Amino acid sequence: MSVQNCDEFRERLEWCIEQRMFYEHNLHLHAEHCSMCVEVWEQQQTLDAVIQTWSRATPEIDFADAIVTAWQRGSSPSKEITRSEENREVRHGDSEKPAGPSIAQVQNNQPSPVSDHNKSTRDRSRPHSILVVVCTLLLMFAWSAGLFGPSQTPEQPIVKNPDHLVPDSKSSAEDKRPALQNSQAADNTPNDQQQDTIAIRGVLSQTGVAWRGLATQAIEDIEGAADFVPTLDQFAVLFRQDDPPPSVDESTEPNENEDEQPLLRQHWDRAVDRLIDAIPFGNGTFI
Amino acid sequence: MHLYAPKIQKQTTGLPINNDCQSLHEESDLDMVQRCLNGDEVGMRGLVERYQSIVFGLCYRMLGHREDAEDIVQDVFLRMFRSLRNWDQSRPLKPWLLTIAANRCRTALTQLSRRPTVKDFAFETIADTQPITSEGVGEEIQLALEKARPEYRLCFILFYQQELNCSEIATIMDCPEGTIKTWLHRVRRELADHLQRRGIRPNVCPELR
Repeated sequence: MSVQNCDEFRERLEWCIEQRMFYEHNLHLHAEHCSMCVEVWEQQQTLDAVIQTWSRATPEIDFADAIVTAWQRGSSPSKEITRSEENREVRHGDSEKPAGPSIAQVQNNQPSPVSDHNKSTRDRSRPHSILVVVCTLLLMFAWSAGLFGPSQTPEQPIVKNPDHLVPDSKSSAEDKRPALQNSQAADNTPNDQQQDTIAIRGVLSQTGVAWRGLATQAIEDIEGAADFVPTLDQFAVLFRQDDPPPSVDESTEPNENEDEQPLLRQHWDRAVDRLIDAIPFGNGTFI
Repeated sequence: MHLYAPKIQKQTTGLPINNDCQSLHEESDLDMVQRCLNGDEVGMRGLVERYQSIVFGLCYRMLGHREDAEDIVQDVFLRMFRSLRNWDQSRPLKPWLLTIAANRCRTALTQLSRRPTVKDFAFETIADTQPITSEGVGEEIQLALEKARPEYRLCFILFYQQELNCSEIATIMDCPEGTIKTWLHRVRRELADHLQRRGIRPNVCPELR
């Protein structure tokens, strides 16, 4: 009797599993005398036994009627499920049914092999799609007929003077005012509307000039404040590594830049204030 | 000598078998397919009855849920009827049908994986706290299979439940035979480790002796 080593044992075991053969006696002998392979051997024995229990536990079913009926109707099969017990009572009557359409005929009736589930979903969503299209068309018609009133399309002021050009961020806040005033002037005569429009344009022009002036001053203040920011060389001088670290007492002492800090803060605060002042509020006024 | 004896196809309808049905069961797949193509309802019914257990077993084990498996089984047969003209009659029908079923199961698994579920948590909690019963031994394999990769699971089910050999599985899964053997080895290893962790041994579970 040939003696197997562990590699041969495992190869032979795999072969027996793949070929569905009973385990050879040599495998059994090797497993009994090899402490390394006995665990593998026992695991395989357990697994084989559990697999046999597992494979026997499949429930019995009978789908013949449900499938044939679903095929004849061309409907979703999910709702046609009948259990085997129910089918046994129905099957006698089924033999009296006329023969269903041939597969070729049914294939002609079903141009694309989409699943029945997709087909039913498509059928359900069709009314919703039609409703959405109709509503969209109605909205487009109402929009084109002007049923929503002139306030929805405010007239944009035309600025001819380049000095009056304002940044884009301003336009969003300003859009509210002409829209509001236009809606108020909707009931006036055309001459009044024209005068109002001219007055609004004048206000807007003055507002733009004022805002531009404030923004320019704020920029100048920021630039002035930025001059007080030390450069890298100045930083190197201020924080030389050869200097001893400041003691606790030194850290509490006033800094060499103490005199400059109020000026820096002064410029900075002024710049921030001017920027805040330059922001218009919702009613179109400035601080 | 074979370790696993092939299963005997049972008559599941419980009806008396008349001569027509008896001859139907003796017909070849090719004859049945021809009857189906001619619109013969009896032929369609016979074809479903012949393969429904096989297809359902695969779907049930792959999905681990009976109702999902029933939906897939019916979808598989409807797809088979639609595609029956494209079937290569020189090749056996069963691997072709199982290929459709395997593809449908993989698609369903992908769709199910997107659904939130508490099944795993609940099942693991119960499994970890309750002792193993005789009914639970088979469920342990199913639980471990659901944790395995879908291709491992399919390979295992086709080998042990459908009793196909590695070459047939390779045809169905469209991959080399060596890959199938590797997957089979790995899934067996995973299942054996799972059983060991759960303390399942023949001397612990008398029904396994």
